[in-house]
Amino acid sequence: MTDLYAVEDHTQYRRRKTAEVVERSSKLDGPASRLTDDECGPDRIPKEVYTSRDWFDLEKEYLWPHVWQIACREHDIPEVGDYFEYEIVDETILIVRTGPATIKAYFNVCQHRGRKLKEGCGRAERLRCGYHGWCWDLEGNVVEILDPFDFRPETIRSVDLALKPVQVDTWGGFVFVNMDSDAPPLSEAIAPMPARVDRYLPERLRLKSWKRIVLPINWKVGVDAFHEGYHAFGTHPQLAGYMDDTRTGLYERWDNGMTLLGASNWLETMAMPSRRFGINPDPKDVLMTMLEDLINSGVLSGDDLALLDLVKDMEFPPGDEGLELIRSMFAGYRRTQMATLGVDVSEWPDSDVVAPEQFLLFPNTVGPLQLGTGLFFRFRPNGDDHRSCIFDYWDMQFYPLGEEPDVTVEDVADTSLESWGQLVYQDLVNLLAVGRGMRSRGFSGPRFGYQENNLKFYYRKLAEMLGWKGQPRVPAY
Amino acid sequence: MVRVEPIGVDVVVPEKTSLMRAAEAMGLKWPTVCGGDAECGTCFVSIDEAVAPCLPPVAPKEEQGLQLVPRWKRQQAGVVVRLACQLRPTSNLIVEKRGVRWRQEGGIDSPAISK
Repeated sequence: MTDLYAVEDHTQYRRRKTAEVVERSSKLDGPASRLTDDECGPDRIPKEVYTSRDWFDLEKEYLWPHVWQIACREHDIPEVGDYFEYEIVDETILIVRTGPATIKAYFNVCQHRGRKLKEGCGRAERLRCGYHGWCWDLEGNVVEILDPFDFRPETIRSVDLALKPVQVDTWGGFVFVNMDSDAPPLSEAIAPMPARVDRYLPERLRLKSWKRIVLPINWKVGVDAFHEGYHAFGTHPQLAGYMDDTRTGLYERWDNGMTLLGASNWLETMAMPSRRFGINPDPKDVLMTMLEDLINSGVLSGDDLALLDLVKDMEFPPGDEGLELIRSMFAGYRRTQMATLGVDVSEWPDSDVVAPEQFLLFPNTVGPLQLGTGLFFRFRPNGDDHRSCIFDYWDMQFYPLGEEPDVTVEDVADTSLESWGQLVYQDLVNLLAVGRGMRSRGFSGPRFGYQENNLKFYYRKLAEMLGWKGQPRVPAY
Repeated sequence: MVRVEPIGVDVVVPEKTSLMRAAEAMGLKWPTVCGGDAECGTCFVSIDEAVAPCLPPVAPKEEQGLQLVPRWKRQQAGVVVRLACQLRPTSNLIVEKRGVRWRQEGGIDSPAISK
């Protein structure tokens, strides 16, 4: 048996693994340009990035109106005429299905007196304003004005009254919008995510649960918590029994803001207790602990309980051999499960069948995506409030075609363990405490280490965007 | 004295001292995340059910921490599970805890902190 816990120099290990990842995956980079570890960004940022109104105003002006962002899922608007209102800071955008395969987006405002046109989601043949009854077709053309003869003709020219368009595009079942008509296409903005994760068939994912809550924190405090693996040990101690946190954290970054917390090394991370702990893990112990926790936390679906029954009475060889057996068993189970859903992954290597890719879709959506399941965490400002944000939690999985449940948003009133489950609850406890703590005079700003390189890069990228047309007024270290 | 298996080390536990602290004082590295606050459940040990009557009672704090130990562990037949950071044994015992090892110099056990 090899020494599972030999302490290899961490820096050496990461450099070696990173080189392997680059070798394997850089051909998928497409139009995005890959950054090295040394290029990621500042080790320290001032806390005003989170706490100051000035910084928030810069984001309002230079970030949100120019960045591609997730508005909804395609299946939120399945039929022609379905609309969905997406709100971001002071803007409200209406996403409309105009045809079986076409979606449009408009600024959600009546061109007569500025009333918000539609509220929430629904289905309509025409978009009628509730104030004076003016009406637009789904293509955004004005089709009805009450008493048009009362207006000077030049005041109500059709070309001026058309709803103001917003760029819209889709990927992986998500509908993205961008308010900037000059912004580069979505495919450039989110490269290389499609090339990297399309094999997991994200468009096939359907909501199992969608929870939403307003949190009293700056929205970026939320984003921060989900694209580094360094917090796993301190925040989620239950993971340490079956996930080696010292071997996560292979980070990849591209100049368009995308980051991957890759799981290319999943097979040496999972079914392996933290290397911070001891020696000679008992394979059965590791497996039972892993399955119970993955099911509890919703990473595995309820159907996977069958797997727990299956292995309960099995015997495993000790050490490496047993751990290897667990990994291949897990992959085999997943292959069978996928086959019943009509997805053939019989030729895929084990790592692809079971490994998640955890990505950040700059600027505000993070999540682990793997074959068959996906968790997505989105944080955005709660209206014009820099000290409050809206957290959307999208828990998705594959369903047999035609048996997808119809899930809509559930507004959750509290951050309790019962409402969120152990894993997310542990993160929420941190978010609230960070939001509260960082306003203290006793804190000047976060400091980032290697395992938080994604955050260094995130704030570099954000500062770049805010400085694009304006000069950030925030002091630099 | 507490025999810790499978490493096979005898730990002398002074009065009013937890098993984990006593082991650490000997130079052992004991699996823990919270460091002894009964908040992570990581330090748990398995003990033969037959000796359960000899163990000091479970205080509310330990009870809370035990909830974080995987359920299948707690429900194993013939075994009781206790937290090594809270257990202050008053008699000789044999406990099972994988992952207990001698603390290593350098590497992951002693991170370098710059002054």
